[in-house]
Amino acid sequence: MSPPIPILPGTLDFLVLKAASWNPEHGYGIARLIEDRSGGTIQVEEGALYQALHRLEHRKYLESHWGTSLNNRRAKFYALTPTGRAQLRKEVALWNRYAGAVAELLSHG
Amino acid sequence: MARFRFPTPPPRQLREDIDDEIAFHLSASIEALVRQGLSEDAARARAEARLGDVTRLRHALYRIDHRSARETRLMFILRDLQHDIRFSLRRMARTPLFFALLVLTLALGTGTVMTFAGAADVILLRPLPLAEPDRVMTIWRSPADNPDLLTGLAPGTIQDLVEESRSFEVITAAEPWSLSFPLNGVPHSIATWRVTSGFFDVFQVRPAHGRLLQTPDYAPGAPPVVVVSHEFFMTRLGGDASRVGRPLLLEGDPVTLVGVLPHDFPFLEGRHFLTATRIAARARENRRSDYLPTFGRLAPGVPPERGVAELREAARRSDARIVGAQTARELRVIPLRNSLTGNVRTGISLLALGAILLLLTSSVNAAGLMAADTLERQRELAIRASVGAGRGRIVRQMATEAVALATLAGAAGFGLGAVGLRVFRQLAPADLPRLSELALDGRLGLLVLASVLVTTLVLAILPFRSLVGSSLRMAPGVGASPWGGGGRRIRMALVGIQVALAFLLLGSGGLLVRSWMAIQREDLGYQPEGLIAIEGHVWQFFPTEEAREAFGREAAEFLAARPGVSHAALTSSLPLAPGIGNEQARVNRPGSDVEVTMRAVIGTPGLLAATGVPVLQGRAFGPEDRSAGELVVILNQSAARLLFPDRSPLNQIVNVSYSAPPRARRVVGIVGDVRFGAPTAPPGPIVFLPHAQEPTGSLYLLTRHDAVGPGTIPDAIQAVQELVPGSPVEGALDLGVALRTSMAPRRFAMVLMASFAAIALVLTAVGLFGLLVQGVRARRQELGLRIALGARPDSLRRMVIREGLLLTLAGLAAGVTAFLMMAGVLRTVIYGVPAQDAVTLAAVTALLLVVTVAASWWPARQATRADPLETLRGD
Repeated sequence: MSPPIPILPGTLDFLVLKAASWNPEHGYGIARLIEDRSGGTIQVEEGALYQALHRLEHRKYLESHWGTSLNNRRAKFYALTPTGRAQLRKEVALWNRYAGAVAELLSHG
Repeated sequence: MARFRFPTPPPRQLREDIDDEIAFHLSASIEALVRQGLSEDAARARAEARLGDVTRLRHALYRIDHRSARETRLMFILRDLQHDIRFSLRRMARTPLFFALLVLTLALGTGTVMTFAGAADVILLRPLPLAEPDRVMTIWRSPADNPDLLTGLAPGTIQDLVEESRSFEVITAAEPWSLSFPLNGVPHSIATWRVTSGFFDVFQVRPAHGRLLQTPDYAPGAPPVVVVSHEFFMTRLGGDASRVGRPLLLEGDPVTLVGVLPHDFPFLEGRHFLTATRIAARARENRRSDYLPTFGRLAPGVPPERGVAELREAARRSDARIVGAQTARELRVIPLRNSLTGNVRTGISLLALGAILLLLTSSVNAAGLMAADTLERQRELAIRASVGAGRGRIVRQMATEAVALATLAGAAGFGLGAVGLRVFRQLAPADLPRLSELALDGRLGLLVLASVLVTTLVLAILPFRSLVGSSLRMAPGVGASPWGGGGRRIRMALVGIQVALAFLLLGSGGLLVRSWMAIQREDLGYQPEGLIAIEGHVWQFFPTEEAREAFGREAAEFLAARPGVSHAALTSSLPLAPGIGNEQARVNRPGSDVEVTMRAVIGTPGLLAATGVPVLQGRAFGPEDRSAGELVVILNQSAARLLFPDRSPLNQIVNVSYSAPPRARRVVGIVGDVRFGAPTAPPGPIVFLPHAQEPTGSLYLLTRHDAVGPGTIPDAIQAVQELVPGSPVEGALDLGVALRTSMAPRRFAMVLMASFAAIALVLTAVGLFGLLVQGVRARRQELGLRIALGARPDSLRRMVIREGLLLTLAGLAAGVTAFLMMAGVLRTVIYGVPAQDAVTLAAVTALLLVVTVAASWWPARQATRADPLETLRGD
């Protein structure tokens, strides 16, 4: 197995939004989701993740509430707001075009 | 009960939440690693390593959250504010009449005060445009028996004062003069001051152009120079600064124009040229002819009283050098500021008092309206408090409302004030000193805003304080009872005060109206309407006495023959006109020590007929009174009474010293008294001399016209130019207009005070009306019950009207007391009526009672319409 890649600059925000879009999730959960659903390819820098969460909450892309985790502990859960969902859609579309263009460019060898 | 709170946690809460979040992360992380088979310690180390520097993370998160909380809080405040403003405007829109009334009430008061603060600022308070103006004094003489008759000083006296005074730095005199100057090729005589050295050391001003007169200009043989008024410079010299330093043709000779006076030079009195002169050596011993206006500047540090005392002493020593008999005279020293605003000061103070009373009335009215509104809002506030609105939140809501109100009222007040100042300028008599400087400025605007803001905040929050204490704790269903409650008592007191204030304003206005009527009825002793006078100086055309005597005769005949002219005469002196010659004569009765200084009027035979002064005994002057014949005089009644208290003066001999040593003259006629100055000034003694026997060359050419139209004055000027070709013509005067102008300040004060009173009356009526309506509404249940029990409608009506009348009577009692106390202030400005005039007091009282009944009428009718069913339904 090749070693995991640190998150590319500028992509953390929308990865976080994507991870929070399935279910309300706490910070630890979001870190794991990103790592697991990327097949272990992407490795999250956890300090940066928490700053991104708080920043996105401040921008009203996420909202938070205190709830109980699976093992019954008090945890702060983040959920995507409607604004955040729209923002996620925009960024995903942008990324797909970008990645497509990069792939296209590279395919010409 | 849940308290309404900002949804933003305090800083401590923020930190705790961050710590909790990090702690959860670490424990979850450790747990997962342990499940993967790591030891507890290894798992912890790994988890912490993945999270990185926890302290730095904590700070970073706190910064983000803190900023976020601050922005959120601000947003909430703005949202609340927006909500409050919208809520206030909605409330105003719901009862537009009420708020329009409130805004108008406040605006009226502040607008009025702004107008008068502006006017008083310019006219009374702004410094004169002079260096240290309070040290500048005007110096006059007056006969000991008539302190109101101010004349200038004799040249010899002035010289004595200059030499002896230590407390005055400079003493200078100005002589009225006239110089001929060609305008459009026609010589015009331009009114001039010839001033003695030091004039501009007294009047220290900066010239608009060039320089002022300096010491060398006064030296004998110095090249002649002239300084002109700013007005003359702008209108006659086209404001062309290049003309300064070049000659003007005065009396046919070139005279260098050295400078232009500043536009606000305080002592011009309609004159346009200033030239340098000296007191001639031969005038040195003339201590009798009091005719030169004199000015002095107090030395630094000398108290005015000491300067005045010293000057009077010097004048007494100077008088002691007069050889022969003399009349007792006083020296009068008046600060320049007072001499400029003397007549205006009392009137303006009175009007300022009126404006302040009006502001009080309007504030009291606004307070009443707001108090009523607050009572009605008690229930709304109680509900809001009970659903969790905090006190702070409600105070902010009310303060916002007050600010919104203040802004509206301030804007309206400022607008009214701006209009008021414009109206003031239009309405104010043109001779009000320094009127042209009157303008709207920012300070006045700030004054208005500050006063409205403070008033409104106080008004909004004071009633609220009592609410916080009581009704906020009430259950929503329990309304405060406005009837008999503390709020209503306050309102009743406020309406009472309003009635008292209105009484003061109405009383003052009434007295001014009554004075005006008294003055209109006053007999002036002559007929000013239709009289046109043209000032002429004919010395150079008729150098000998014989020539001037002939000129007087022929001129009167020539002018009387003009179309539209019924009478014509020449005279040296006219009521309401500036003097052009020696105005004084001393008259005594031979063989007695009675000597009276009185006004001297020289006239041609037609003078009395032309002016309409009645001959009471004897005859008017006739063609027989020639220089060669017997010397004669005519006295008016006052002069006759003073000189001959014991018998008829007709055919008696009096000694008259006018231009020459005393000469014995026979009294040939007694005529009616004439009010020479303002119509309110008492008539004084006058001696009339025939022009043929005192042939002066400074004359008014007087014509009486059947009708005065726009062409009358040009016609009259045309006539004078035909009569004396090439003569300068200056100062055409319509006596009818002059009379109205002289009355303008009084008329102005009367109209303004009456307007104040009318506004106060309306405000009072509105206040009373509002109070009664609200009382009836609050008592709906009780009234309904009474009706259900068979009370008759007119007894209910009477009940309401009685309440209104009782309030008015209480206010009246206070108003009458205050009015009698301030009667002293009024005494100085009213004329012909006593300050405690019973007619005025009765009329004002009746007016207020009638207005009370009128204001009570609609509330009284509403009382009879209370619905008994509503009472039964309960509230």
